[in-house]
Amino acid sequence: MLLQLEIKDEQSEFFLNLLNQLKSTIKNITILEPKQKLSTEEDMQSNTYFEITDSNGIHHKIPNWEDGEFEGFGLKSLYKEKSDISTQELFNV
Amino acid sequence: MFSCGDIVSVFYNYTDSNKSILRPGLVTNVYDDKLMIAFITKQTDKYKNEKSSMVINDDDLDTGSLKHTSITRLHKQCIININQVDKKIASLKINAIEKILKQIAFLNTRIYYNTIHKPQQEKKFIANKSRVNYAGRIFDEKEMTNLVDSSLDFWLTYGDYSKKFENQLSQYLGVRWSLLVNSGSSANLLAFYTLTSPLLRDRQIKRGDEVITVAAGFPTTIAPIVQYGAVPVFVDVELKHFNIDTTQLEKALSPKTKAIMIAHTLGNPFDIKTIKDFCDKHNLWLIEDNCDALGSRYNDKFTGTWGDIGTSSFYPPHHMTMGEGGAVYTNNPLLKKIMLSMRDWGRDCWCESGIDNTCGARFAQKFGSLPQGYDHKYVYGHFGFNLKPTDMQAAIGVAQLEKLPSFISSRIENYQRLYDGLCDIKELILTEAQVDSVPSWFGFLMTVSDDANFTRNELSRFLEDNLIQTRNLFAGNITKHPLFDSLVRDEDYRIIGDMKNTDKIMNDSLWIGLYPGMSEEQIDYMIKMIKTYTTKAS
Repeated sequence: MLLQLEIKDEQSEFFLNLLNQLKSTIKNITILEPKQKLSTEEDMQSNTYFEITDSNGIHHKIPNWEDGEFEGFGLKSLYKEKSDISTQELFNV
Repeated sequence: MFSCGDIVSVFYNYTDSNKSILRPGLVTNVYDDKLMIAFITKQTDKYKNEKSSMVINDDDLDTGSLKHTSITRLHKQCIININQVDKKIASLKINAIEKILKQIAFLNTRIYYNTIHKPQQEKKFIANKSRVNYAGRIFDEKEMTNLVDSSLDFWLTYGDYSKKFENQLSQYLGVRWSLLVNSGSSANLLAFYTLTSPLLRDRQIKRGDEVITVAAGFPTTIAPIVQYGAVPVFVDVELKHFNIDTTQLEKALSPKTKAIMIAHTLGNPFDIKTIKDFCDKHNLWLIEDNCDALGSRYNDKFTGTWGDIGTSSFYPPHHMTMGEGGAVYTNNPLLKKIMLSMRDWGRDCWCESGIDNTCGARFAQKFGSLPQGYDHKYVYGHFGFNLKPTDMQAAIGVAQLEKLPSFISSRIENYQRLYDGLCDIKELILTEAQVDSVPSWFGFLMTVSDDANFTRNELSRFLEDNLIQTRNLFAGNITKHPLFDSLVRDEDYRIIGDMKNTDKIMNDSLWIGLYPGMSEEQIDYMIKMIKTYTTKAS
């Protein structure tokens, strides 16, 4: 029997990860992933996350840095210029 | 626990609350209980044009996977305590780590250039306080990052940058082959010794054969001739273009003449048409010592590409530099084959460094009296040299070659400014550009006329005292130098005529710089000081 699963909602990442892990043990499963939509509000929101899957197949969605956040983070900010295309300053803290 | 190339989640603390949320980080360094992490994000489009940002794809990951192309901004790094790390999520492959560490090295190199070298280069000229050098290397962060790139590769010997440079130089000059060597003098050595190969049969230069040249120039234009045991035949120069006096050629010719080997004096082409016609008529080789003339054109074709072999020098004062370095170039496939062999120990095999069995018949050939199948890699066809450059030199050269057209333009403009400022001084003979040529000048040559009330040395001393660097036209007359003391005239070398003009250059000529790093203020200062001196002296 062929099982077809279509994932539609905003929790798609979670289910996809889960099903991808199950794929190796369940045969005859086809996963219909949601079609990529361009420039939707949802995509713009997802662009605010750094997304990475670890070696156990667990998906991590971590908010991207804002420039200002990073500047103030850590013990010492190494480089503080807006862009390194211009002359850089060293240890401008 | 953590290592360079790990992708981690770190706790980012809002200062106005106790709430902790996570942010991603790429570990770029680990020391004790601290980590250096770099900004990493999915916002690729936003940061992709930054010089120190590097795109990371799923293929770059050793463990874990990336769904979307991401980017790390390597000029955004900070040090954190190890307890600020939530967890390690993934790690990069060694190739990606290598690229990241190189980018960080380039970033620091750019900072070094901008902090240490650039201010020096932009130092304002102050008359009578700042020195006006006759030449200097012009570079920016690109040369330095290329050098660092090559150093980190640690290939060291002839490699990818060398091949790239050779191809780009050939393309620029419009020749079929260029071979990089470790200096301009090595280029002359290689060019000359190439013509001594037995593969050239009846055109091979043998010991005792003669080579027509001039004495007013640099010693290593003629040194290979003497070192080999051939006989240099010196003819005089003319005092308009300061190049070989072509009216003396027939007098210099003998049944033993095999070649002409001469330089384009300070970038000014010699009378190429006359010389080339003479060589063609008498079946002579022509080696153009183009070391001081890279970018000069004659009849809209580059000097160095008219003869059988051209040579270049990339020593710092020259038109472009790689510290030490030089090149030979040719359109002749047999000469190219010999040059390659002579440059690389005289070997018969043409495999590049680190590569074996390019021909596919390494153990399947028979050479000389060697046993059948003797390893071709160690078969020698010539008594050669090792004149290869390092890849670090070539890395600098690749960046310099991009700048060469602008360097040449500056030299031409600077020459014109000097010429316009000094041409009305009747005590100085200035160099005229060769007919049908656009010289890429190396220096601004002046010769004190016979009726002047001052000597060359007095003018040189005055200029040096006023912080203007001067140079003689190299050896002046090389035959008057101690290195000729052990040679016998008409046996080891011949001189045609009285070499009056060569002696005039030896006694009365000097030159000043016009390199691309010179400002208009510096050029005007030189003009002013020369005029001040010549006016006072006359």
